[in-house]
Amino acid sequence: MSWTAVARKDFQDARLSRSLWLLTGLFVLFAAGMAWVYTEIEALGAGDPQITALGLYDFLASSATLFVSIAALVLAYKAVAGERDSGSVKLLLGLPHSRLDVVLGKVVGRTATLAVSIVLGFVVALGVIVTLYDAYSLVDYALFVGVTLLFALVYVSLMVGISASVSTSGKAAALAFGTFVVVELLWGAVATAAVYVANGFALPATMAQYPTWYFGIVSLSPSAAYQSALATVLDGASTTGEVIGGTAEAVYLEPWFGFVWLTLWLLVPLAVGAFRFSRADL
Amino acid sequence: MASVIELTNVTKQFGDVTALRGVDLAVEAGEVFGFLGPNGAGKSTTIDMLLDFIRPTAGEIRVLGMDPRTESVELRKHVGILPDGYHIYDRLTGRQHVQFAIDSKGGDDDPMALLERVGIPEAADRKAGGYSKGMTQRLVLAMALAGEPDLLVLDEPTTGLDPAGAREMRDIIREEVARGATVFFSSHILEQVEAVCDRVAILNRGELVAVDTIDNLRASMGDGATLTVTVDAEPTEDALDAVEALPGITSVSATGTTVTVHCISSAKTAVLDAIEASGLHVSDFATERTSLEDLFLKYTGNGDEPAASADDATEPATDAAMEVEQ
Repeated sequence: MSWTAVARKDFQDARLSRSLWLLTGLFVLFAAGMAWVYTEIEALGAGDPQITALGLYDFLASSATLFVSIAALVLAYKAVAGERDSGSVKLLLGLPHSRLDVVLGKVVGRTATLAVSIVLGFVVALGVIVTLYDAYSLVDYALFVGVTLLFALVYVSLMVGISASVSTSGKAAALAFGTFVVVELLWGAVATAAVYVANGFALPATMAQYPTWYFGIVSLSPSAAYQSALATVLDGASTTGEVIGGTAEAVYLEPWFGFVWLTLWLLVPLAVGAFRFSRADL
Repeated sequence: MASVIELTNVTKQFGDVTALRGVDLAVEAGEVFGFLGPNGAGKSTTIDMLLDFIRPTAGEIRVLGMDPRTESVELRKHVGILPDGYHIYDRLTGRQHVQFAIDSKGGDDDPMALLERVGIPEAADRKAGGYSKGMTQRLVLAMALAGEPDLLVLDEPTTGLDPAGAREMRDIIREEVARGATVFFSSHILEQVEAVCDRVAILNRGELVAVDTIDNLRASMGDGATLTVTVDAEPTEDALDAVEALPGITSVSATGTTVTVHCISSAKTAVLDAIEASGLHVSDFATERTSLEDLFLKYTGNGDEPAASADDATEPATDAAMEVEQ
């Protein structure tokens, strides 16, 4: 397997990207800012330290989903298609790498690049937390960062999969941005639309009448899956179903199922992309 | 060992466009093989198929005895490629590029040694995005040389090089052949090919129109070299007959003390020897070669083409193929 050489080269290359460092700077400010803002909010009402800490992670996670998804898009949409565009793929594939190695190497290299930014942001945020909080758990914080890194891997994999499935950067940009908009911004509407259609082009009168699978759809988006996964490792959290107001019960609404969704997001788009890339004329 | 490169009836279509049609070609071990043709003839398409960048529509390809489609990775461990229309990684240094090639091939070459060989050691730690076209070409050559490949595939290798750089490129090609490598090298710059190649193939509009040594190609055109010899006395009939009897001679004529011989290039020494042997003294001689340019144009030009049979049908296809190759 030669994906390690590809990943190393890609990491050397991508970490020098200016847009990445701009995003990282923003994220460091944002994560530290969020940690600080949260202390301000918390100061307004007295809180149980356990709940407070949990609330902080929700707070940080919501900024992380936005940063990770946008950064992964910027960092990875050109990973393969851009090389096909410019012709550097001929250097890459003139060397003894299989096309699958190229795709895997890209995922690992770009994830490592993004991980540097994420860790940097959360280290600074930890500094803020250590300074301002009396009670915090380093273990929980490490788990939180770990799940966020997994989320970054999933998102980079999704974007590299998209990049590998098309022939030009332009197409990759359109598809990556479209996917981001649908999955991150319009996902609730997609789920609602599905119910609307399934229900004979009308919406149920109350939330309680929504079918269980509706909550399944809502919970399967990458960021919803990430938040479910976080809730699993930082115990005591609510299930996704309860979060969005339903009372439905199903195995796919259990918080741990977030890991299953994340795994699917990790593998399926990448498999499609790798398959299409392996059959493409460069 | 079988041929290093073997194409059997290879056809490549891009949609409706036929970029390559029924090409048969064999390149033997240890050769420097020139692959000639005008832009858009299908040279890069052929090279891209050797490396599995694109796949043939029909026909069979073997490189180093392997099928590029199914044994692509193993094959590329033994091949060095300087592709056409490549792009380097702007943010990485020259040394990082070469190190990447070495790592990819699992070798232990010294990147600096390779950069010195191609003449850009001083640029090793600069970002390759700032390199000139010629330096970039040298850098990619250094990457191709990593791991002592059995086959070097060079697509338009002298693009962007000045004459001195082109000569260094030829020297490197000769060194690699001396080491035991086979070199397959495409160009539309004829002097480059002539200076270094053992055999050439001429590709035109997706079809192979000639495969031979340059001398034989010249001879087959019936007007190889023209040798003009000035001697110290009028030559006898016997002397002229002796010259004419030599292999590779097309015609011999004499006007006064000037003998004009049409022959293949490699026969020139024998002609001079034969004239001296007949008792005449050669006081001066000049040769005028059939220019390779003429030869090339005769095979690929718009005039009397040898491969003009399917011409009307290929005309629009060729223009499109040219775009595909960019």
